[in-house]
Amino acid sequence: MSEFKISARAYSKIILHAAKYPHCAVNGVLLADKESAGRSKNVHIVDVIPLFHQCLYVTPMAEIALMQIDAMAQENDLAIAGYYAAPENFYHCTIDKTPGIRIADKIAENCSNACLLLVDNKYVCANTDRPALKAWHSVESRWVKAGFTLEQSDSTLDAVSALLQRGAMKDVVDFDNHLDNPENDWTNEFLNRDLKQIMAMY
Amino acid sequence: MSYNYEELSWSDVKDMLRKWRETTDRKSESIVQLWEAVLEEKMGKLGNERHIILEQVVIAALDCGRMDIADKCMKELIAEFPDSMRVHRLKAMRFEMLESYDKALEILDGIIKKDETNPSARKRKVAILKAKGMNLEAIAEICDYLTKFMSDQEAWHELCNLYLQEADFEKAVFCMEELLLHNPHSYLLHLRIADIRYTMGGTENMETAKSYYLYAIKLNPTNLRALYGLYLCCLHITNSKTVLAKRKEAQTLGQWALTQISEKNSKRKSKTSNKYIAALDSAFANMDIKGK
Repeated sequence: MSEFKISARAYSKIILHAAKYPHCAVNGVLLADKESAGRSKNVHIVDVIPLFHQCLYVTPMAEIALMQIDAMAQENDLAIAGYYAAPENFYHCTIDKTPGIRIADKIAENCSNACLLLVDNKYVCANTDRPALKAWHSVESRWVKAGFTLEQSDSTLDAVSALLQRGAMKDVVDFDNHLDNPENDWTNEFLNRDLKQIMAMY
Repeated sequence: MSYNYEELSWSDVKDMLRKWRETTDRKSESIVQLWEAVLEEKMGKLGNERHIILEQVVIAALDCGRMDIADKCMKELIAEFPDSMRVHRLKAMRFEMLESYDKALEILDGIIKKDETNPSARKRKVAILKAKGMNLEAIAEICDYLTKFMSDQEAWHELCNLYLQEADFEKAVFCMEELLLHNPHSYLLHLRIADIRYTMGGTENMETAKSYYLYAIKLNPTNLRALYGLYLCCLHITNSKTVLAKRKEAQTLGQWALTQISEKNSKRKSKTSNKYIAALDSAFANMDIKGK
């Protein structure tokens, strides 16, 4: 079984993005460091770019976002390695109910061993002792269950739980926010810096 | 959002809640916080807005899973209006939150039986189907609803979203076109139609999408989504096998869209984007248009 290593930054951004829009489906792109991307195991997911919350079912803005993210990834020695989504319905957490699964399929065409992470809404809460994610990876254009490990699992979960209670989800900027107002920075530079400091405290 | 509660007077909060009601913002968490911190003690002072604020707080509390607050406010409303349909609907929503959908449906059916023209009870039924994950049944229910309440724009919107989830783009476009008849000058509707047409693909849809994007830009020139969409359509047309003149025209138009985007970004001091927009530009630059 393929194993993914998910950084604290990537995990907290996924959960905060889902928590920012609790009544919507959200999605985004996973970035791995260039060296590990495409390897058959131990792909290291270091960061994520939150994409949309308004309408996940039309493609134009997703194409624009992916083109820009690709350029950004290359500049920072990263590579697009997968896709994440949080379903709108509280109980849905399966491949066939994944919003925007076609984007994930497209990423898998261009990246071997692509990773698909789904947020399991039931576990997005404070004081949880397990990560609220499920993972799949692409094998010959099919999605197969995969395992993952969260870096510094305990402290990351504690930190995310504290962030949720403090309302830190308001600080996540996704591509939809950027399109509404270009001042909003979809690379989340500020948040990344804050997260680094917060994680250091735990 | 966290507020500095000490600085907010209860009348400020009252105005804030009114604004959110009017714009139908979904700010459940803030409403609950403000209610607990400021308004609850001042309930007597709210005057004729008291009931409508109670209703707003009940719905917000149900949205956040704060049963304690919802029950407390609902008690007030039930005491004063034991037979009100609006209070009955709140009761149904309470069961919805507890996922006792059968009980909720029973109340809603009761409301509809008494008042056939009650739209909100019928809409709640759709919401229940959606919560159960039964999208196709939800679509059928809204279609039925729309045969009775044809001018309900919110319902057309919801139907469009459901069709998009089921990837039935043709029907989703139909819903949006229906809305466009109500609101011919809304750039958001033009934008959504263009997005759906683009998603459907094919030469003809690409041309249609292009015109809708252009119209959206005309209605709101600062709108980034439409400019990006226009750029994508032009990229596709330039790449396609149509006549040379059309491809050349599309290329010029696409370049124009990109310049506009860069300008908008630098004007708003966008930090990141301009350097990554260069990536879009190079997609065009690599293309060499030659006649056959």
